[in-house]
Amino acid sequence: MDDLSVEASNAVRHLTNLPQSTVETLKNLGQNIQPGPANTQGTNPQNQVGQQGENSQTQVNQPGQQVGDSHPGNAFGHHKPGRQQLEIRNQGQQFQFRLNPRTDGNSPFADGGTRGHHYGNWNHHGHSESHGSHGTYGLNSAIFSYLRGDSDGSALRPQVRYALDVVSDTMGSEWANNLTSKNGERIVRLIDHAVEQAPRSFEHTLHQANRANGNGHRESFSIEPEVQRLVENLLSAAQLGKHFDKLDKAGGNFARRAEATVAQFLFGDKSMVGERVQLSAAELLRDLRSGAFRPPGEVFNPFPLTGRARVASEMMELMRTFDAIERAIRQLDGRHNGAQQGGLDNGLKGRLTGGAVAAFEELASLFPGSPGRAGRNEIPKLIGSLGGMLTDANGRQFVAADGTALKLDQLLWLSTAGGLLKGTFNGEMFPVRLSPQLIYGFDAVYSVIGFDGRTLNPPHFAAVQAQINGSELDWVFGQAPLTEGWMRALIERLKDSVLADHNMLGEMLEEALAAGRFHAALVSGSVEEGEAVAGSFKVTRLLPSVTGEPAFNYA
Amino acid sequence: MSGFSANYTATDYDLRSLNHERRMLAVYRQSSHTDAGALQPLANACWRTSCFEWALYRDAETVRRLWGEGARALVQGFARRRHGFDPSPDQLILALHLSIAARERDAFTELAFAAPNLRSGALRDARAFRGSRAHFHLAEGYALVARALAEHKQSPARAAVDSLAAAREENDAGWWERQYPDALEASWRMREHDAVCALLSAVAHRIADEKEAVHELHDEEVAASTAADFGQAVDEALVRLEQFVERDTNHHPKLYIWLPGIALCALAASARLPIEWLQERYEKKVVGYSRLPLELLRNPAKKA
Repeated sequence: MDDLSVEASNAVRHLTNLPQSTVETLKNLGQNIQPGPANTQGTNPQNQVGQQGENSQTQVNQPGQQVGDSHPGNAFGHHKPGRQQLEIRNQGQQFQFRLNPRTDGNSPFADGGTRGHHYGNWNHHGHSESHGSHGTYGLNSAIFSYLRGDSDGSALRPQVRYALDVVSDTMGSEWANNLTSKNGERIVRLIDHAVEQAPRSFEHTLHQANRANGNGHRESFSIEPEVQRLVENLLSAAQLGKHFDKLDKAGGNFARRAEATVAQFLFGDKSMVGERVQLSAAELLRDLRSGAFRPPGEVFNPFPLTGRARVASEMMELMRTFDAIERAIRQLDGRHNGAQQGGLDNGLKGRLTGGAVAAFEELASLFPGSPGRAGRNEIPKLIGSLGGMLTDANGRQFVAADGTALKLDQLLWLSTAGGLLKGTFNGEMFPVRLSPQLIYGFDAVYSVIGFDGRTLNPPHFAAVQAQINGSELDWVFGQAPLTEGWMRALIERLKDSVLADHNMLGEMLEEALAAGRFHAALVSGSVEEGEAVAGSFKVTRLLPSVTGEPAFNYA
Repeated sequence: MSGFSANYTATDYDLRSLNHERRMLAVYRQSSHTDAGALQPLANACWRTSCFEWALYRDAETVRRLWGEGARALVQGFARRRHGFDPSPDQLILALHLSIAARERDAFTELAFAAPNLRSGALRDARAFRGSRAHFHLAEGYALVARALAEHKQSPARAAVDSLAAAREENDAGWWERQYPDALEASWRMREHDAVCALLSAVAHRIADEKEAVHELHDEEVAASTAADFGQAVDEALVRLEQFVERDTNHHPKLYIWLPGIALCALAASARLPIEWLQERYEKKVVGYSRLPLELLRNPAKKA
């Protein structure tokens, strides 16, 4: 959204003596404000200004008919484009503006004529019923226009507008301004799909929640979880788009082809396949940033690829991975006599027995996935095959302070399964689409017992992280990976989570860390075309002592 | 997501968290005598405890006492350079915030005299945040401003202006996005960094440009203008803070009080910037100023 020009802003302030906060509010309505002659023949003025600023003497009149005011879509005070009027009285002075939306030839609301008034009711997909689902004024155009500031977004549901406002504000005005027709179409399609996947039940408006803001005010304004998830998805989509912009410059044609592939699986023709394995923009972004799509052979290459060649090889591996995912899904659908998604799931659930870990291993082994997820899913398999006994290169096991050998016992936390495990398999729990906090947090956390099976009191814990294809371990929150600072930062995130269970886990882990009862290990291996390479996974490092040698191969 | 009860209120969270942080305070206090690696967790626990104490009991004295303890713990780590302590720029910045907010003069002075050339000095072996030039510039600028006030000299303030300008220039959105996976948090932290730099710059300019008594009238006009800019920067930062807290469903106890705002307003007062604008904000109940409680801004009552 373009900023109000300095000149126009100063003119408004000078002539009306409006406080800056009011000018900002008007600016945020997405309109250019130009002083003009008084004109009482406005059409559909619907002028609502959310905030009056500090000077409450400023009034806003609303002459004429207001269309769609009863619809919750007007809750944000957005007014319609077209030839609008905003009459402002301030201390006896009258100053009227004529609002002209910034327009371009592509905007469906360019002339502000009769088109601009067909807002009425809209269907559950957020599309204006007057314009159909995917017509010229369909949702994708509405999103693009709104992000660029060329429309007021009246064709969008208020929750969608809110989410887009958050995205635009978070990504910055430069991002929105740089949405050209080329990259804008890609971004908007990503966003469009995320919006389409949002619950259809966005019927109630943003509501008060009893989550306080910590200042003793219990009636703080909050947002619905569904809207929050939509915001998360849109932000991930926008960030993924930005990343591909950078890769485009380095990788050229390969990056563009890979992006097209990603687009197909995230929101295009193959999105059903992508949804089955819960492909998400956030996980893909992490894998792309860390180099997890590097071909496995590259890890041992004495002359590693760099620059354009490296980008090209990673993009090709990405495309191969997606092909493999698609092949696996279609084969499984075929084996279960039908391409129906329900048939596959019912078949799987019927076969699964035992605890969460066994069920998870079976389910996870059926699908290739993004390399990071595939690698993290190997952790329980590796730990299980070792019987929980992890050693470093010198054969030293995890030990307690008193020299007692320890072994990993129960899997308490697995990020790819959505976080905390409760010991029973819940078919709806995974595969799950993960929030960024989960993706960059602990991969797995185990309880630890004595090597002879006895329970330890106080309890010990162990975090196990996965490193795929020699990818760079993530620095997060300013902390180097697998350092104590890194562990403390992740623990603090748990303590501040909205979920009480996470808070309690975080507190337990902090107490354990302070007392030397929280260990950490790194599991590294190779993933090719979305599947773990047999025999490639090993424990390579233990904390607090760091070893550089591979410790144990998993066959 | 299982385990979350709609009846679990913010007060439950604050109470339980306060109890946990108090336990951890006891643990870190004991271990920090022998393990320098416990100094930062101690300071962090002091900070968190102070936030929960404020949320539940509104006791300014307890809050300041905890800030002071946190400041002293960090200063101990920087000054003695004990093994296990990570002298990172974010911790030095935090130490300055805590020492100013708590009115810990000795800690403040010790940090001030760490400048200049922090990168090759006090921050030489930094591990955390070592990839962020913006943080190093900010730490340098902050310490120089502190030194200018401690020594009543203008030259460190002039150097601080350059450091803070660099800190803003190096404020890289891409770095924040990689470090903070939640885009909302990354955006807020980037803006907070910018706001802190802007506020410190105002103070640095004030010190650097302060005129002699013969030019007092002009000086007062400049001070008033600087104060107005300072106030507006605080307004904008608090609006952004409120937006972030509203948009993110997780808890943010460290934002119950905006510690940088408390410290920088106190610093501004020390630099003889007018702060009447603060009182006006409170009277008009401007958005966000509940995170800059007046009780914590006022100087503590002197003991008899």
